[in-house]
Amino acid sequence: MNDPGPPSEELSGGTWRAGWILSPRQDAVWFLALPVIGVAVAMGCHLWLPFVALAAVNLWVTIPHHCATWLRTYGCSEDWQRWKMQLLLGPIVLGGVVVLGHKVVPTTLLLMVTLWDHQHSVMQQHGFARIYDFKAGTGSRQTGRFDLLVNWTLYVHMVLTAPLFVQYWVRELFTWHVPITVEDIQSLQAVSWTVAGVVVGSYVVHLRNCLVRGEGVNPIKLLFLVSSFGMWYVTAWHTDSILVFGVAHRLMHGLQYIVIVRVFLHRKATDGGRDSSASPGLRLGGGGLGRFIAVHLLYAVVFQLLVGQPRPLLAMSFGVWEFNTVYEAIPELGIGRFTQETMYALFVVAMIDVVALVHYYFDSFIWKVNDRRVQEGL
Amino acid sequence: MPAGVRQGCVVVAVLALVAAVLGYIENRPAAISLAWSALAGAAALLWWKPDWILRPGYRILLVFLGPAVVLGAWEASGLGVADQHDLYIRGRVNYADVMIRTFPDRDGYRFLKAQQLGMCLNYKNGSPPAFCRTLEDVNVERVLGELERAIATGVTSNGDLLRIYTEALEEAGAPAAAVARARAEYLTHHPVRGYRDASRTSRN
Repeated sequence: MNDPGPPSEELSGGTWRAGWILSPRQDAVWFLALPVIGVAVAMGCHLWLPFVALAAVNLWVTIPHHCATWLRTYGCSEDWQRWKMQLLLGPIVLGGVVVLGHKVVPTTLLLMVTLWDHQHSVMQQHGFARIYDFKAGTGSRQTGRFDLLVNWTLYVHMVLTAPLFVQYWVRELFTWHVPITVEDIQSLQAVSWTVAGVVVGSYVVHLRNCLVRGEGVNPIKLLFLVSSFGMWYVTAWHTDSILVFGVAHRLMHGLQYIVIVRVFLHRKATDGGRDSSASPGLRLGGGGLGRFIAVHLLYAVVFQLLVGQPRPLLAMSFGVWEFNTVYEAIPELGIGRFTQETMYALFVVAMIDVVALVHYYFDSFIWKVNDRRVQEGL
Repeated sequence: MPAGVRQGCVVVAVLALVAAVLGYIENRPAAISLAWSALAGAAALLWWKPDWILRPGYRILLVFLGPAVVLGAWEASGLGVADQHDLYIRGRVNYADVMIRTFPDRDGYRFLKAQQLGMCLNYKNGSPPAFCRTLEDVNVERVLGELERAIATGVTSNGDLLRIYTEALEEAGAPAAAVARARAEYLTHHPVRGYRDASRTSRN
């Protein structure tokens, strides 16, 4: 995993330059094939497993990918020194927001968590796209903005047009007393198609200009974007199942994140960066792979025992055991609802939301590819 | 930060403060005044110490928490959030009908019609809304028919569908075994093994 491979490789004509985040083989698995594998696994879950499979993927992939954030932020002295104020105040502020939100304005909180989740997902793929250009030394000064624009446009277009998502935002509009009509939706979708077409067209022109000017284009980045958006579009357009979308998306998002954190920590620990290997995060995250995986799985188990009581085994076992119980609602996905207003349920949901929000928050400032200290770990 | 933007922050802060005071004077819900006050505070801070708010790690909070404060005030005031009846049977434009007409070829949304019919069927608060009065022969059989057609498509990802189906079966007086089977399918509703084949759909 730690072989960075050649920083760039001429393919043809001197302007198509392949650059890899890890290595050709590892990128093929983690960044190009994983979205496709995610769809296949999700379809398998859809066919053969109960709905709790989504919660199981959440437990074994999404929860550990939060742990990766904690390892880097709280475990590495370099990041701790740089972001101490945010790392201390962030959980307190966001914890207060979540607890207050659940008690007073649950609909607003749900909306905020959902939107931040979407923003977080888009920005992760955008970040990987930037790493591809960084590795290959391709693109112009405007490429980052074009990447951001095309990522956001395609994602928002999917949310506005794919039936899986339309049902949620239409319902949300009615919830907030904005009675949108069928004609309004169709007009909005027509505008979305037009904007998406114009933006993608502009992006193609920009790529052509990069080639003409000799600034280069990384074809692997384009394959990565096609693979990522292919997964999102296929699952959002061709199924009505939040299970299929959720499983595929969480596999891609969580595993890719864990992989990049592992590489980052390992490189920081072994390349003699200014952070010494005495940092607990580097020892746990940058040492042996087995220890890295064990830490994440242990975190998942502890988290589940804490918030998944009294039925933690249900999610741990992909629903194979304890078929006759109802899993708790997954409010950030809009699935189900609270069946009883107990303090325990409030605690559980608040825990999940707080952890997710703090993870989104930290990621918004610790992964800037144009940051020299971040580049050292990539 | 450009001078024009900083001046704009002052204008926003003053206007938000005026709105907060007006809300208090007019005895509007306290949440409204609090939200305007928060907006005024954020704008003032942006004018006074823009570097504090715009540096990494703070800007993102403004982006998400700012709108959330306004929306939350709206929700807390009791003005903003519709209940189930508002969504499904209020007027001629409602969530269920809009979704069904937007995606007429996706039978999975038919359960929304069943939800709508079921709510009209169970309407107990005064006279039923105009929407319900225009429906013909709203009865539990029709609700079950809509649900079974939706289930037959295999689009059963939404737990609401099977929850409503279980309730409708009970309402229709179906045998206890049929209700129990439907409830079991609801509790483990992915996949819906017994109901996937339309020909096997049975209330008995």
